[in-house]
Amino acid sequence: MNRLITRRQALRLALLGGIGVSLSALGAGARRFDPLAYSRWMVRRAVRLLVARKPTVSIIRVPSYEGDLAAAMKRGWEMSGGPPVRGRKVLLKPNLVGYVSGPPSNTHPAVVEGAISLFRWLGASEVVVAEGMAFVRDPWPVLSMNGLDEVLVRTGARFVDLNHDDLAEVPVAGGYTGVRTMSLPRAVLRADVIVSLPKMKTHHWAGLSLSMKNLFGLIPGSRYGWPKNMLHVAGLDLMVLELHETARPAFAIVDAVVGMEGDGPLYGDPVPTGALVMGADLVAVDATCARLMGFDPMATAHLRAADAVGLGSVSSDRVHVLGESVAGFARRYAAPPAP
Amino acid sequence: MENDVAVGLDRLARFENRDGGWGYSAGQDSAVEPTAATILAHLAHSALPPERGLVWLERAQLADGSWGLNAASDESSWVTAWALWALAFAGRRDGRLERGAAWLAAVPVVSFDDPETAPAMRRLLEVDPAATGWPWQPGEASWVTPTSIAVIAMCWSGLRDHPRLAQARWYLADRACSSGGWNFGNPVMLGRPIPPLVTDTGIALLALRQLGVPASDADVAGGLGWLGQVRPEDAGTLDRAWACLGTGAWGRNAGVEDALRENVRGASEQSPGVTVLALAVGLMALGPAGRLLASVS
Repeated sequence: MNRLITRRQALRLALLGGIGVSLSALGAGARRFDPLAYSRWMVRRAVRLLVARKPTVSIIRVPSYEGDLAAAMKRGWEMSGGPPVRGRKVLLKPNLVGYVSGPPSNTHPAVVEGAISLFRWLGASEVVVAEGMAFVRDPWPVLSMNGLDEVLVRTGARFVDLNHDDLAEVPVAGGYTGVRTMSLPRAVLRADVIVSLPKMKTHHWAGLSLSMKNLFGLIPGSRYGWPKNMLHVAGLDLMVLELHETARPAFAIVDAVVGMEGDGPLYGDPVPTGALVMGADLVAVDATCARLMGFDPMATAHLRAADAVGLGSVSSDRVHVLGESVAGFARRYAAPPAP
Repeated sequence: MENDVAVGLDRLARFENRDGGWGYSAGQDSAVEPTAATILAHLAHSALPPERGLVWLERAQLADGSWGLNAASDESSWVTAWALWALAFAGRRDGRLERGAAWLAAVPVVSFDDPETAPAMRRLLEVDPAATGWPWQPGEASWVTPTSIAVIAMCWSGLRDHPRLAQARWYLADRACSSGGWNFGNPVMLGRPIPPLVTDTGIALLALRQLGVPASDADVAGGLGWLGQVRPEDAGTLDRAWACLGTGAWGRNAGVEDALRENVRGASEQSPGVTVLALAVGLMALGPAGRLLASVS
């Protein structure tokens, strides 16, 4: 028998359910119980479920990197909406891990170039491209091999090596890991708008590497070493959430023109998917990408945890998808090998 | 002094900050690693090291004897080895050096030899979990670069016979890639070989030379063989510098030396990739590599 519940009952259920989910999702990483932090997460989750507008994610069909990606991104931006950009400093964070030739493990330079054009067109006062590569100390061969050096010359955009930038110690905003403060590059802290530009791919530790996992590249290697293992030890999935809350990325553009399946982040196989996925709610963007790849987003730990603490929307009922439909890209990506 | 070197040292001098130190790139805050590398760049060519740089380095030392990343950082860090290397080579052998060396010799490192973790390490990474070197941060896991720099600093600090050096030798042997050379420290991941990297291989080869490992050693031969195949276009300035240091320590020439000289000659604030650190290590590499090591037998 169906029964109607009041708004107050719904809120209570959401809070109780949220606490249950959170405890299981976060239990492994949380160092000690912090009732204030838990209350904040649960209220935020309840607001997101009951009051907040659904985030919009746009899926734009882009068959190849040869087309006008800036025009495609403008369409996506107009559909999904984004933060104010005019007169603000924008930091584009591509995913550049690759020193292995062959697999499409890096964000394609055409996507970076398209994003530079988009944010300049939107009136940004400055657009920089920034990355702290996970494995290598010298980023220039990767930029060169990837073709991004030519984009930088052609557009005049500056590249910031986040591994060797000046640093500032900032409080960790999430409270999920027990890590109280974190060193972040000045370029990250002075940016008004951080845009995550990941490659759509699978990842052998994180399950999926999308706009949230891409935030690990904000971590400075000079401080935490290579391959940023120190913060992985604090709990990779929860550290992704900490980075999201501390750095506050404002938008994501996922390079799914050619994605990568299987043994990511380095050794996967290409999957021509033909799409850009864009939106201001990174959790919703990544959850949509997961569905597009044929995975249940709740099977990915950091998305499950993000949902539990109300950091963004995971359920397809809570995400407004514009442009192409997820079903239009039905292609199951091969899962990464299990550790 | 060679013209390339004189030009490079002159350029380095222009990047000096008002406080006497050097940042990773022009205009950045002074940091221990580029400041120490700048001092070593001078010493590698028998030039007088910058006194203000030495003083900056000495003042940046923390109370426990270690160094943080920069003068503002109070967290002990792997760059302690860089500071010791530079101060010892410069002959600043006083209580500071002793305290720093004592800290480095005692810095804790995680060993994964417990019954739960060790089998997983062997299965996933195909490494010996009991082999340890030095970490980036106290209490963390061992990695190739901090281990190698620490080896050199320990020898310069008069701790050549310390048992941790034998451990470090074991660690570097365990973490060598099957194709020759080293990456950050995981030669295999989930059954797939992870390829070597130029900078890590150069640093490891320098450390093995410092340890007195014979040239016939398989890891040395493998590293030199792999580094010998690196083309200039595969390597940025920092990579080229470490490739030259690593091969030069063994009396070999890297195929990237001409490109490195070009980087050093043409370096300016506008040259991408020629950071202050890369320029300083590049200048270190253009001198006789053996000069950077503490009396190798």
